[in-house]
Amino acid sequence: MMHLGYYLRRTLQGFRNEWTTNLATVLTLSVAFVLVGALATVAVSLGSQVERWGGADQYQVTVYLKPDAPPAAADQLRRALDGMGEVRAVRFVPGTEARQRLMEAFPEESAAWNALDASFFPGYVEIGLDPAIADEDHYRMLVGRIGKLDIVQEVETHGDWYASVLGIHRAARVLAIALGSLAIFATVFVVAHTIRLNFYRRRRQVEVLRMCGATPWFVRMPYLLEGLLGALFAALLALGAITLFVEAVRERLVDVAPVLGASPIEHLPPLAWLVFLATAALIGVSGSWMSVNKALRS
Amino acid sequence: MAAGGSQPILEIRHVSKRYRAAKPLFRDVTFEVQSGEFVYVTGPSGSGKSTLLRMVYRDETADTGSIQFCGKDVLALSSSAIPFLRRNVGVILQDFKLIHEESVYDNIALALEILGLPQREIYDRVRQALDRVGLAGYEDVRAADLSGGEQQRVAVARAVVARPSLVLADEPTGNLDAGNAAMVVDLLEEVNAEGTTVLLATHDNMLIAARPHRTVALVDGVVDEITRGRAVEGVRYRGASQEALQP
Repeated sequence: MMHLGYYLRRTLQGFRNEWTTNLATVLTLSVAFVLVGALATVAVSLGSQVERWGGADQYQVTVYLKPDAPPAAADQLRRALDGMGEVRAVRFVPGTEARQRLMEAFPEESAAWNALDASFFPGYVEIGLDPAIADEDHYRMLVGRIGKLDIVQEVETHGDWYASVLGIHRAARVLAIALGSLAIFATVFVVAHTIRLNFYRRRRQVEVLRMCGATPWFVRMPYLLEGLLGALFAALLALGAITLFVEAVRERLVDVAPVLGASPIEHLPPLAWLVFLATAALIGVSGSWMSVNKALRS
Repeated sequence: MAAGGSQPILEIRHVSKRYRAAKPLFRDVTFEVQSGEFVYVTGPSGSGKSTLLRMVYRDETADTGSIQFCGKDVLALSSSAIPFLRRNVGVILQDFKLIHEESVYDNIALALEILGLPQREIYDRVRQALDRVGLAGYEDVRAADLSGGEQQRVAVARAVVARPSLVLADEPTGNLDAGNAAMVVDLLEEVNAEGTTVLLATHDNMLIAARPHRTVALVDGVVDEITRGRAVEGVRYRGASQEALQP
């Protein structure tokens, strides 16, 4: 691009000359992005918990068989459950896989898991129920019936805890989308007002540029870059803050990790970072575009 | 003074402009400027000199008529073509129109940045332009820290650095003392001597008399007289005595 050097110089000059306004804007955007990002982090983390417990589209029940149950018992149970409409999936998890899962969930305890006898890891049957068919009462009744079978030692359900997490997860997702939309709308206007202010402060420069034969694009580009880089910087600040926050929370959640799994709160995945940065870029460019176009027309 | 070329670089034909319905600013203004000429546009305050110049670089539109610059009607240009017209026209204004918080170098380089020239060439041409206007060594000085005369010389450097074929100067000496005014007109005459056409709007009769060039006078909304050389006697301002026009 022929004028890129000039655009970048002008953009940096703009940041330098109007640093107080630009800093205020970047911090305002960062706060908005942190709120949305934190909510997204909560949604992602809860989503992982939900997935770990069977996924949002099914209730999960774990059935431990009695040690003296005949080897064909698991298969017998699977066949009995397979025919039921509310049962979406039945799967036997052998003891070796159970040990492996624990090792993956708590890798720092690998040595301890390895040292344990195979009898500590009985095989179990995982049953996924369709929440569309199996409502709360139906679900409890079915779990009760399975528990009464002779070959069954224990039925583990995630019960109310699971339902709560699922509810919070759904709420967090909706809230993240709603707050995200609101934040996009608000931050576009914050950027637009900042750029408009900067544009009017530099109106003599714009007049001179136009008098000397600058095209509207030539005038516009440094302002678009100013909006773009400001919003990207704010997004990076927000992502940095969220990363630090997640690390800090993880340290404090060590005690509950055995209940919630090794990573009760998770970092945003790379795709979320990309979406976050792309949205920030779009906000920066849209806000600048609105202001500069309006100002150039006037 | 450069000898006037044979080709008209600027043809102003039947141009009229009115801001108020009852009182046209000017009507049916028609004259030509030959390539390489130095021409004054004069007339009392409010006669439309500045408006006419602004029409040439399409900062203003006309109600009727045409302004042919290098064979193209600038009044009929699309808005996307106007920047390209302005790259061929250097403009000098009474208020200098410099960017005060920027350096002298940056103010002049701006006209070349727009053209997309390489930095090395921009540097060389800005240095040459500063040499020419007697401000070598002022590259890093902020425009705001210059005197009025120096600021106008920077404006001249900016107007000519892109080597336009036409320079429009709107009351370039209006804010300057006699010494600085003479220096600015010297510069414009030097530029003209190298072949650049200059159209200078002024109501300073002393200047017109002291530096004789063809003069177009706008009086009472029409081109009242076109004089050559020192003969400004023909320019008749309403209410002004002939004596007032003498140097």
